[in-house]
Amino acid sequence: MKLLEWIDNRTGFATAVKDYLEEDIPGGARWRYVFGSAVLFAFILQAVTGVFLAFYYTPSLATAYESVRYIMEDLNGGKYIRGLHYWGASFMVVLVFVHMAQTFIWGAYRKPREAMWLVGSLLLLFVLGMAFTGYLLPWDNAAYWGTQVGTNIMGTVPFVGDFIMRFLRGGADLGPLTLTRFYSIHVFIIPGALILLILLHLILFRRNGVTTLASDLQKPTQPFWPNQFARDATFSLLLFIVISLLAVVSPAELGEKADPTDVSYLPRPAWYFLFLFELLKFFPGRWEILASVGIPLVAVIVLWSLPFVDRSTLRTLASRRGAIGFSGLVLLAWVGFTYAANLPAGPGVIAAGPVAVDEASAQRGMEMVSSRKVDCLECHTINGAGGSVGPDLSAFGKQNKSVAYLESYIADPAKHRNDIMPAYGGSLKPEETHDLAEYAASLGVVTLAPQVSSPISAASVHASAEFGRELIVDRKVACLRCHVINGQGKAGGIDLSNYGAKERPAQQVVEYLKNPGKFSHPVMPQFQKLPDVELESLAAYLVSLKTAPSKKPNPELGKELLMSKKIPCLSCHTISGNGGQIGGDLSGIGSEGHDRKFFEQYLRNPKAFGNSIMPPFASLPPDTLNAVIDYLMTLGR
Amino acid sequence: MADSPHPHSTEGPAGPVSPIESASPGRHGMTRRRALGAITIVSGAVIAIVVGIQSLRYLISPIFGVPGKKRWQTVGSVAGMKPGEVRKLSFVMDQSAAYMTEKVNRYVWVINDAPEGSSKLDLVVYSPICPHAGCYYNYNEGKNQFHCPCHQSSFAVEGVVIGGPAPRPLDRLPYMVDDQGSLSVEWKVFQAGEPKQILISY
Repeated sequence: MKLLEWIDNRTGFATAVKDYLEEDIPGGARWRYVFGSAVLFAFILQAVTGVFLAFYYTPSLATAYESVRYIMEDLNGGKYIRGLHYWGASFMVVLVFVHMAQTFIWGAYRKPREAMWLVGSLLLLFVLGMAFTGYLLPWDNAAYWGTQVGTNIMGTVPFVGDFIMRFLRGGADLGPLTLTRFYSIHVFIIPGALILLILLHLILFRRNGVTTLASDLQKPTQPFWPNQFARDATFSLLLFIVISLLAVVSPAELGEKADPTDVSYLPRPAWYFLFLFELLKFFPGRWEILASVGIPLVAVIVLWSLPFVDRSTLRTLASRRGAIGFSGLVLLAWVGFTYAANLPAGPGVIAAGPVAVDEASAQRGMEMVSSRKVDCLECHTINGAGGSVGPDLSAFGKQNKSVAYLESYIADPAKHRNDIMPAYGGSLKPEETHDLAEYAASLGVVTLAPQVSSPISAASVHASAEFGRELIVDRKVACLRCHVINGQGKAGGIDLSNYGAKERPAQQVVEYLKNPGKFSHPVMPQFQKLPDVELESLAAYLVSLKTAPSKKPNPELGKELLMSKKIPCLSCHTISGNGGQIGGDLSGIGSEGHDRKFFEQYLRNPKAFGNSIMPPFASLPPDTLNAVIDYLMTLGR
Repeated sequence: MADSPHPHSTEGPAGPVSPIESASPGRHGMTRRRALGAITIVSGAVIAIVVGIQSLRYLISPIFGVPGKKRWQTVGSVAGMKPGEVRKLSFVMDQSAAYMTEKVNRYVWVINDAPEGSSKLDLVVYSPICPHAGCYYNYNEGKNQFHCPCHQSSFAVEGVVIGGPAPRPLDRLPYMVDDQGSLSVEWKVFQAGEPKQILISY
């Protein structure tokens, strides 16, 4: 106690704190006063968890995503800390709006609290700024594309838009400079401003006090401590419990790392900005700035002028029916727009299920593409052929984008925020656009008949193993999707590298390719639509596949390697009385009935056999390993 | 909420003055004050303890354990090393730390410990890091010794300390040689200044 007195004598801190805590609340403490302090609590929680995240997060393109994944997956408590920050952000936005709506409905912005309202409105903008800048930092696809769209919208502001967009991005495009800028704004600039403004807000609050409803005026005054403080603390604890549960039950999201070339990713902002995203759809073309700039600007002007326009002094809820109705409408509109933006089907973009493809139309689309009547393949790759500027469309149909959406996309990609792809609306007839859309929807979903005009089936080509190899290696025929040939391709089906070893007649292979089901192999797709020349070439190539015969066993070399200690088996093991005592005696290992595969797997990874002492010899060249195994297998025989 | 007798009353900055209920020194008032104070402090404490414990776990999470990945590094060729020969073999390895993997330059000292006249290899591979304070030591060809420039520790080619403050012999690294004479080493770093080897990273 003496110490406290000493400190207070010198600083006056204790008296100041006591003074602050014992502030009188006219009309007494109320649960409905908790929202302001709840916002403050949310801010403190964001600040604390934000500082902890900054212990590990690095704002660079090479590490931003990796460091967030490290926090989420490798650090104890990392998922929880980021979860608090992630959910805390959403709660902070909601609480700010609740606090503001209450102030509005109560008419608490009026004289003498105009300055508080102005500071509060500024705080709202900064909180939204925090939400916007924080969204980019994990650098996943959602972050990248959300920010891409968000900054593009700012770019539509007349006169200054381009400058604002470039200033935020640190140039024309999103890149390393955008990340460091957003980081600095999110971590230093806005938090600094927030702290100053919150202090100002609190000082003004101290000066003006709570807005007592007329009905409470005759009730006794109570002190802030402990009567109101206990309610504030209880509500904050409740908030904390809810945010914690969300952080544990539904951890913060981290999608795929940002991929600027993946233009098929559907950009979506954070949920509290979704209404704006949805609103934009009602203002196409040059009207867009009405929604992106006009409406927010009007909202800010209304907010700021409100206390100067509304000079009424009525202090009852009954006199605030208009305000309540307006708040209700805004809430309804916000919920409605957010809900609409969340509709699973999307506004005609994604069909509910697989799109029913009109095959004849798709066929015409395919012919337009492969005859290069339309230059899709200059940028896109389809089934192995084409450019790499745009995304590979080989399986595009699996995205279930509706044909109507695709038609509109092909006609005018800029309308769908794709500034790179050229517009085809002017050069193609509507039915041609439709055919292309049908073809795009068919890719990876429907197999279309090969074209007559295809250069592959031209009669000038003769069946040959070499042509078969080209068909497979150039991926014109999809064998390597499921099979492996000499190390190329995907495992799934059998490895074909040694297919020729069984000496099958080529004609039988052709029959097999046409209809594998007939050979009781229902998994493999039928290739009967391929031209005969291709089928024969494939068969000729397949029967020619033979791996080099395995070399003769070489136990002498293995023995030499062990005895010369080039391979240090004898450091631990004993063979015929020679060697170490740490491992087992190997003198009879060859007679224990193990096969070659066992030795190979054991030597490569002893741990898999419960042996954690022996070092793995996974990096030995195959020949060396084989020689050692050859030698070991002779032991004891 | 009772109906107010003055539904249209106004409120100035000072507000109307009412009797202060809890300022009255009644016993009931005091216990209520205490209970409310306790609720506040307990709420704050619960939040502080939960966040505190999780943050502490989070902050100390990476500081223990052995960073890096244990794996064989191909170092270079030891083909044709004569008995007693000392070679410095440099190599590039992937060093993993937290969420980053970088290429770093490393080297090891390799000694052929086979007796004079033998054509076989009997290798010893040393970590290049002095076990005293973690400096990189040099090989003195004239004396056939290793010598650390930082605090003057000297080591015989067998690794034993023959002078200076080093608390333990040079650290040997596990190795393999394939039939082409290519040396692979398991890179390990041990705590400097300890009489025993304590592994701190790969």
